Amino acid sequence: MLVTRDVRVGAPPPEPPGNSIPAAPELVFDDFYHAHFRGLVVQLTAYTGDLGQAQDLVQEAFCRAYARWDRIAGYEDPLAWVRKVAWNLGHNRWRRLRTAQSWLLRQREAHVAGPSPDRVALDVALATLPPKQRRAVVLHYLADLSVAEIAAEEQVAEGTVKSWLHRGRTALATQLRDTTEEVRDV
Amino acid sequence: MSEPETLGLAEEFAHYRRTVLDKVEVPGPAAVRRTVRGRNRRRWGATATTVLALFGGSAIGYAAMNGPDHRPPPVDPTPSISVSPTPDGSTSPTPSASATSAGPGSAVPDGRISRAQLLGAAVTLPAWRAGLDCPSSAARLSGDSREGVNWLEALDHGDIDGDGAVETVALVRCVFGTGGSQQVVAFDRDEQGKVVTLGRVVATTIDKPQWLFALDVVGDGTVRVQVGDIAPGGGWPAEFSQRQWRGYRSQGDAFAQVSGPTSFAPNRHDVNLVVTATNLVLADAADGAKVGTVTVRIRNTAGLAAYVALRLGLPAEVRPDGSGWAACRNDPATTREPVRCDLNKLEGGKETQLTLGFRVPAGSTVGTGKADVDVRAMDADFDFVEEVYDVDNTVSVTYR
Repeated sequence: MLVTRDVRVGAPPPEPPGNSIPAAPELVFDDFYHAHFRGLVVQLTAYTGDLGQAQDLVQEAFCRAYARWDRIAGYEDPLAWVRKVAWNLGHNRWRRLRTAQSWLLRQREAHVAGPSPDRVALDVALATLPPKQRRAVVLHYLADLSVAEIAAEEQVAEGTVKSWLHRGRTALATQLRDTTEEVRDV
Repeated sequence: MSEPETLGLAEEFAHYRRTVLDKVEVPGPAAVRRTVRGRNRRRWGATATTVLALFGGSAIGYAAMNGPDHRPPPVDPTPSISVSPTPDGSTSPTPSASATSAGPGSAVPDGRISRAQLLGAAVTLPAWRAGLDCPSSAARLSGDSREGVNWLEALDHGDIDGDGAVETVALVRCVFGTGGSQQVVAFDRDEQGKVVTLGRVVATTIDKPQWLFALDVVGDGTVRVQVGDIAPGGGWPAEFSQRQWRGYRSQGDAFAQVSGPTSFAPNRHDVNLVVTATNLVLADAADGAKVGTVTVRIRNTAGLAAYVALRLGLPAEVRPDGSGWAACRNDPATTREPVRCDLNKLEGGKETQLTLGFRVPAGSTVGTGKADVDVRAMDADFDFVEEVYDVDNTVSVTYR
């Protein structure tokens, strides 16, 4: 069922010995959620530059998956569905505007630590990439998808993905090199 | 790009992954369940309230809105993982939430809008093209096809923007006579439940497609629309139109075609011949006959070339005469009532003019009357081609 290359992070502890009760659909969803929630948040953070937004988008995508879990659990790659939904939620203009308004209403004050300098450097570099290149780079480096898998997900030719990756990598390397040199110059 | 740089980039991302993973808050699948159950309760509650209110059960409806929820609170078998607070993404211009939000209070708009609900809502439509009087703002869609209304012809549902929720797609026609203009429009609901317009999927144009026949949202969110090159209506059959299924997908800000053909093959009915002719005034000739001419002008105003069959419904005594008939591929002198002249191919956008001589032999008499001058298009096999607009294929002239 699961065709996933995402790093399984935050998974729940293993079942205690002797617990041989067959997994109910809800438990399967829980496993799926724990296996992929954090990895997807990392990808969406890299794509949007915003960890809080990424968490919202991924949680919302899992809500939508749960609402139709009977069907999605039977998909060849349910993770691709959730990832696509989360990315589309972040991408669609009308959703973004609507969600932005609701965020503003819900936003609460919090005093938190800022992101690390390294993370900021990569966030800034990623933000300079066109969306398609950024998506390809994130899917390749953080979702661990192959060129063929990215091409299938984006419904483009593999050559197009290779071009996106090449341009994205070059631009990122230049950006990160410049940033490093700026830091060194200070 | 060099290998060391590629490896360096991989390490940058690996470091990025570790850094962000440490900071991710995990609301947990229990929060997912609470959210979805809350949404379902509100949805069913709203439906029940509406139904009860419609049938006069106001007291029960009130209870449905305000009664306590007797369901036990959801059990959380997988407690959320406690992690460090979420940092504010200072590099992003978008609003930043400091915690995940999908609790029971958040609601996903239900974009599945029924036909009745859509007919009952005031909606904004993408503007109709100039010259059409149908409203586009605060507009009501109509269930019937009265003149000047936005007629809701068809409706379908699907996740057209890939966000995991269902939206609504409608085929709407601004009715003008038996025709009009059409567009496929995507609708959703906002968080207040109000119907909002997402955008236009495709519309008819003056050129092509002139008609939209059907609508179908498929599983991957593609909006399939059956388009036709020539509009039916006005008395000509829809069979004249070539039909194609074309697929459209949301690209964020607009819809774009992603599948199906992007152009139409030439349509044999895409011909429009227009004829004008002068009256026939017969004058006495030296040999006792009567002679005169008719000037016929034929234009092909549409795209396809056509062979032209010209017919002049003059009395049998009025015979073709002179060199003006040289353009005819047949021998007009052998035809009568009507006199027929088969012309060569007339290209689209071109015209031809003939000055046709007539003679009434001595001893024959013709009075005064009217005759039809008629042109018909023929294809390469010399089969007649029905035109979409054929009222300009015939003109009446006087002979005297």
